[in-house]
Amino acid sequence: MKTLRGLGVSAGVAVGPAHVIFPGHIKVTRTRIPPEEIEEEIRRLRQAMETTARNIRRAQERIPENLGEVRAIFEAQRFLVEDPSLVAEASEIIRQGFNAEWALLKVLRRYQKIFSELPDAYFRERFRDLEGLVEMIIGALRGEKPLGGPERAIIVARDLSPADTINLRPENTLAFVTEAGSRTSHTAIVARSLGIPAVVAAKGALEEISPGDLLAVDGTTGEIFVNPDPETIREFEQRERRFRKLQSRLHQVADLPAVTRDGHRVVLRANLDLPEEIPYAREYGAEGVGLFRTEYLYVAREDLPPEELLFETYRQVVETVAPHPVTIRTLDLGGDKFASVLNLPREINPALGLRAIRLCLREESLFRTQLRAILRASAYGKVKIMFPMISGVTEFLRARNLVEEIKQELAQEGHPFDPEIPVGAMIEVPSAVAMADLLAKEADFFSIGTNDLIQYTLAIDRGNQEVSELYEPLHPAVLRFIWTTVEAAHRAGIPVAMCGEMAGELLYIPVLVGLNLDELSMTPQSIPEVKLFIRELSYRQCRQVVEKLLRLTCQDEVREALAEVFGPQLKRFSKSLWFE
Amino acid sequence: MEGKEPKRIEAEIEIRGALGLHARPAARLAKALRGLRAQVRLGHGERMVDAGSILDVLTLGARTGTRLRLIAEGEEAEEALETARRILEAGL
Repeated sequence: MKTLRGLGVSAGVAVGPAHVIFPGHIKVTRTRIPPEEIEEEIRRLRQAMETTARNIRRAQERIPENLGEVRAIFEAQRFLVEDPSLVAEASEIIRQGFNAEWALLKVLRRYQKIFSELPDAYFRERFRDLEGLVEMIIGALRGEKPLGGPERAIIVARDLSPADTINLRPENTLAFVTEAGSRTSHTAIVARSLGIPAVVAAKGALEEISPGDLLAVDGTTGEIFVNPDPETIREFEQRERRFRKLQSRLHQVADLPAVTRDGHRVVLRANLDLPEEIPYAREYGAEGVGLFRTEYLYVAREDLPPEELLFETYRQVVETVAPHPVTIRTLDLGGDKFASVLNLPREINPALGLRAIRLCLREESLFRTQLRAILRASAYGKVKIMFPMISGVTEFLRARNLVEEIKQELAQEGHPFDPEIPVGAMIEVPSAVAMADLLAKEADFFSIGTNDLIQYTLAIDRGNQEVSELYEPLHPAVLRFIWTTVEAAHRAGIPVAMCGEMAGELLYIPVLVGLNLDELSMTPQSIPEVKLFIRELSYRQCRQVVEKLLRLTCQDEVREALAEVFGPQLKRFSKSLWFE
Repeated sequence: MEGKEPKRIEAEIEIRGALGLHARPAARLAKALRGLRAQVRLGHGERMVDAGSILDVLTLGARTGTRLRLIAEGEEAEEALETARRILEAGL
């Protein structure tokens, strides 16, 4: 049994055989077509194109109405297959006496050259849509069945283009596993919309997984087991039962407050990247958005996004989530993403380099554009701004002052905005924890970003396999830092949120409740489980345990102590989810 | 037949959508022109392509702010030109 790990982007559990799509070049043979058969060959081409168009339409119909964006991607695909130039050029080559497959390939090569010379990445990448499409038409010419075949399987691929996903039959697709991708990639969006579990960014998937291997995939945790042992399979059956149970109870659970047995209230919010994800957040019972990541619109293009585009996107999110609040995190990217646009030098150690708030304060016009868009969106609902990677008071004040300047600017221009918009600091750098008491006097709220806080506190690069094992959320140093931050905030009378993977992990919940965090923000699918668990806990007990944990010497002791107190309860709780 | 002679008219337009002339507006353009009795070509300089082909329109790689030439020929050239202009100059 081998274990792979990726990013869980669409919840659910699946066990089944792997159907591996190797990144292949389309292979076709050239055949001469005698003059009397040319018209028949053209008819064959048109028929294959019609079949493909039909498949696309069918795929499009399966996408729920409210996912207009995703439907539109399919719409563009469908038009591409009916494109007059594609038909005309392929027919022309067939008339020269070649087979339809070969003709399509020739046309594809011609466009490849044209597209590869375009300066803009978005347009260059459209070639991949065409490539996927031609692959589908060639498949139809050969009478191949769409991917996913008649057998139910887990699709493993390098990446899935819109064209690939069109070909899949959702009823036969148990899960997706891709080597590339992110939370915002096409695979993730389509998988979520179809309710199919998906894990992306699974490094080494194509090397480790062979066609026909048995896989166990968890789209929430991002775990993939290759040829799992019977025990793991049994465990996955339980996970699946638990997931189904929760799904069936979603609506019941969504309206319940997250409150402990002794009346301690915790606010649960969603982490989101795209406006399209809001329906899930609502369905899973999020009380607003605790972390709206804004990198997507910057990464998806080579130049900088204009203010109007940012504003429209934020406004859409804010309006849809209202009356609940949306906490928008300003750009949290490294300078490397903009090296070409901003003319920045390459960095040897980007994690400690020019990124997040540092980059924004250096490239002020980029930052101003984003702040203007956020402030303008604040007129349409309840918005909070937070700055990532704050390391001290001066840095926070510089950013905060800029917000004030922009408020005046907007007021003069007559743009509406929320003059009382809360401005908060993310706590992810140890120096910010050290300064938390003074920072709390300047900020309207704190939000602890655990992924970075753990990485910087323990000096562990999680992506580095040599040391990734040392990455430990339950390290007493991490717990002490969270404690210090919460104490400082509450003394100053401001709330503290936590966003980051730690907030969505069941085992850590008693600790986070005991640490007295006011708000936990997580991927929407984790919310129901976390909420039900919080409702089983006693705040007083969690608090007592945390006070004890803070005096322990190492993470092993912490885990042991936790398991001793909450182990049986966690077990009982999990069981109740399966069988209730 | 009088008054319905083939015409050739031209216009210059600017791409306004924030993402440029990407797949969706290209699809919308192709769809809108489909029913009209006119040939519409779009491009700049030497490169003029069939506005009814998404594929060819995408190869123009037209970003926001790009100025493009539109040429419409045929019986319904005027309607075609106006339809194309409306779609290309629309925001988002």
